[in-house]
Amino acid sequence: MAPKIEEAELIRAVQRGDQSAFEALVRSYDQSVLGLAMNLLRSPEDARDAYQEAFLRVYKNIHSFRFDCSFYTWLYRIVTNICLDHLRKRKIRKEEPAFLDTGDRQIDRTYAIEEDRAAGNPERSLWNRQLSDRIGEALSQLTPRERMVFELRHYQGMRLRTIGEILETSEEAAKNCLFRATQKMRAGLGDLV
Amino acid sequence: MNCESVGELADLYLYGELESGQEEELEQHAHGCAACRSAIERRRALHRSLDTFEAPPTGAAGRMPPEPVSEPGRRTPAVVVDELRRFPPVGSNGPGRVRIFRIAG
Repeated sequence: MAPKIEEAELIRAVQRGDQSAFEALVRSYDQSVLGLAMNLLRSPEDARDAYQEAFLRVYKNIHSFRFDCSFYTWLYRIVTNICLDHLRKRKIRKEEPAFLDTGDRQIDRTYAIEEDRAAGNPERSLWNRQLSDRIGEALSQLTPRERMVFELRHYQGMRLRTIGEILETSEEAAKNCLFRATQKMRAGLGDLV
Repeated sequence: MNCESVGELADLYLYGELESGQEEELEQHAHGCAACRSAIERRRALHRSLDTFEAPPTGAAGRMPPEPVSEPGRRTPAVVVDELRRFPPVGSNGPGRVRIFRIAG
């Protein structure tokens, strides 16, 4: 059976109240949803909350899914809306996690990755940390919507058309948003390269 | 296309988001303009630098911190479904934040 048809049957089963089908649906998307939330929010705690909230909303609203867009688009619309809310709240509180808050300790959010690549090269490691700090700072200067579009395009590799569908806007509006975001990123990082 | 337009469109070009006509015009201009070629390469280098800023892995690499130890064992989607069943219907005030999932790690 083709994967799309299989998924459509799974969704219909969930709509009929089949909980094992919901379990299968969660399984097929949970890592990508968590990854997306993590990319967008850069905070494991917030990403977890967004991930949970997303599947909760899926469960509560799947009866209203009418197959007029792909399930992927519908699901990502839910996730991005939740993440946008998180980003907006952060903007209001002027918070931007510079570190990974792990509860009992804090880890620089990118050093953890870079240390592997730069192992044995302290200068490289220092440079990577400085670069990451600057990128994080530049990202925090974007509006939540610019940040969303930038993250989806640059880090998730989504096409602007898909981003427009997910954010329920036009491809052109998504393009303009990406344009503003890249301008701001250049302004914040231009002297680094 | 002129140098100013190339400057404006270079990022969209690198993302492959220009319409084919625009892309062709940009490439034609860059072919004959060393300054624009250099500007595009600088922009490409910036994109590569941005690539170094990645979210921490969320899976077995272990950089997602564990859930509080007080919680019961790892929750499978089946447990999630059970918990969701107890969740109030849409429109009610609900219990606020609830822990539904345990992240695999």
